[in-house]
Amino acid sequence: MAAESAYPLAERKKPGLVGLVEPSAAVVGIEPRRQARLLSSLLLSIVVLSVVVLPIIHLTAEPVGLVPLITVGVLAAVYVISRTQYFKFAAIFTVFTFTVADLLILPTFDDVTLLLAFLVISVLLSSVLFSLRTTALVGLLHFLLVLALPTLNAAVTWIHVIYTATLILTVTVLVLVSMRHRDGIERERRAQLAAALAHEEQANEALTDSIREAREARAKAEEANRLKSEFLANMSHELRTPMNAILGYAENLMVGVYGDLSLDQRDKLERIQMNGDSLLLLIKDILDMAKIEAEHLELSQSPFSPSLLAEVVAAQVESLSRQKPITFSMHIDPDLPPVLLGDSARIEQIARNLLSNAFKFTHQGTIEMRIERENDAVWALSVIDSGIGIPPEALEYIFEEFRQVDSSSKRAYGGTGLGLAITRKLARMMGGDVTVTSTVSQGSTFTVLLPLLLPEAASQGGNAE
Amino acid sequence: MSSANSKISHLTILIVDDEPDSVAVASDLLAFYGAEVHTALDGRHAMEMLEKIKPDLVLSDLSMPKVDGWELIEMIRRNPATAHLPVIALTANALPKDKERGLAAGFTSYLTKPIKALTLLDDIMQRVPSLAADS
Repeated sequence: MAAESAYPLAERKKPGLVGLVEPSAAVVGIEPRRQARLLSSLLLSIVVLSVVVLPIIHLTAEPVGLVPLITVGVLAAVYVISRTQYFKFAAIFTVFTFTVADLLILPTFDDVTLLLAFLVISVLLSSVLFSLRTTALVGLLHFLLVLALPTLNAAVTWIHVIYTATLILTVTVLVLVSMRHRDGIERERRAQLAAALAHEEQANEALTDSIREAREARAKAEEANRLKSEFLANMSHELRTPMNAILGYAENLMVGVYGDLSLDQRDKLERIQMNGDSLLLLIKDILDMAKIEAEHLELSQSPFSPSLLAEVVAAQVESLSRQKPITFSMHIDPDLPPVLLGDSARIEQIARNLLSNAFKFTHQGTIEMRIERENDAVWALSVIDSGIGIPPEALEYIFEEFRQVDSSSKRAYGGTGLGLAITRKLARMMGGDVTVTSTVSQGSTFTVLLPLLLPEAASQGGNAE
Repeated sequence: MSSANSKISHLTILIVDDEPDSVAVASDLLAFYGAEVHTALDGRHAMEMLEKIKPDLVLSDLSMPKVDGWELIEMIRRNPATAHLPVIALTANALPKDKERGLAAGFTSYLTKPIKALTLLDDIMQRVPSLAADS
């Protein structure tokens, strides 16, 4: 078997002699192939024996008759058939012939031992070639035949009969038991195979199911994300429209579009504007946060001047520095390249967040904004204040959403508690981070580290130096 | 602001917006500084007005019933008579990609609500060719 399966398939398909040595490829399945091979080798040996041995035996007695030659010819034909897909017919024919030959020669045959041996061989042969049921039938038939022998052939004695019948019975029973056992094993194997197949099928189904579920979940998540961003866009639009009316009318009133106002009215109008502005900032912060959470915030990469950016932000907070006894200063590192690459609007937002925090929590003293080159790959934006500072235990959570040092400070200082969370998220999205050091009642230093990216032209210039 | 007063006083401006308060805030402000202000509540109405009043500048919202701001800018740019007219988008769509889309669609500039008076006046002065040439 192993040697056979080692043959390359193409070689076995070659016509000619090779096709005759092994059972035809048309005989499919391992068991039928084994049976076909057994039958053909049996027949081949009988043919060879007949051709070689028979003439020698008959030379001593009388010349070779027609019967042995016909027998050999038929056996040869059966051998050829056994090489084809019709090997079953050859098998049936063989056993049938053996039985008929038994019956024909029984009455006159005088070599009792050879005769009885033929009977046993027939049973064995059918056990090899046929199913359990056929073998039992052949065994039974031969058993009955043996019992009937003494009446057919005078040479057979009852001792022979008992001996042969017992032999046939034993052989049949042994064959049947071993076949049943083999069939049992076969059944078990088939059951195992079927179970394995069923299990595999189940596993396949489960896999298909989970793939489908994963696809559905992904589609759902994408849909949820799409709805979320649609909601954000709508929300932004719906909030901005009334804010436009509130702040627009307030500004028109302030400018004098609707007539002159008393000082007191102007003062209250200013309050409306201030509150409106902080409401607008809050809306922007919440939407920013939601956008970052939904990962819809896209960062741009364009050239910008860090010193110009610092000046713009400083101008925006300038009015704050005039409300308190605070000295505001700015330091820009001369080593920092004049033009960097990044999302200037978002970096500006970070700087504004840090600076407005500094002004919020500093009552007097100094606030400094520094923009420096840390190394070849990193630049830093720091805001140093001499404010109220942050207690050590609060340093852990000030970058989390909606957290201020405590709720009393929220009441005292206002703000959304989103500024630092947004600052950190933005810094991290840019590939940087934000750190803080602080001493209570001495001040805080916030430092944002960002990757130092140069525009294409500038970086080439830098390489040329 | 007094300089704005003198500068935009000879302009005819068409404001297109379906939201009455948005129309009122902008038109009150621009009229206060002396501009001749006309208003339209949607894009179709605006196209009719354009023929009649021949404005120096259009200030248009984007989401409006019937003909919206996107269709309006397309019609304005397609018509040779108005192809070079300064049209400013003034909208509550504040996402950066909205702005890109707006400028790509042919708006001269893209402003978001809520708008500061100073920002609006500055932008108008920049977009009207005769005023931009002065400064």
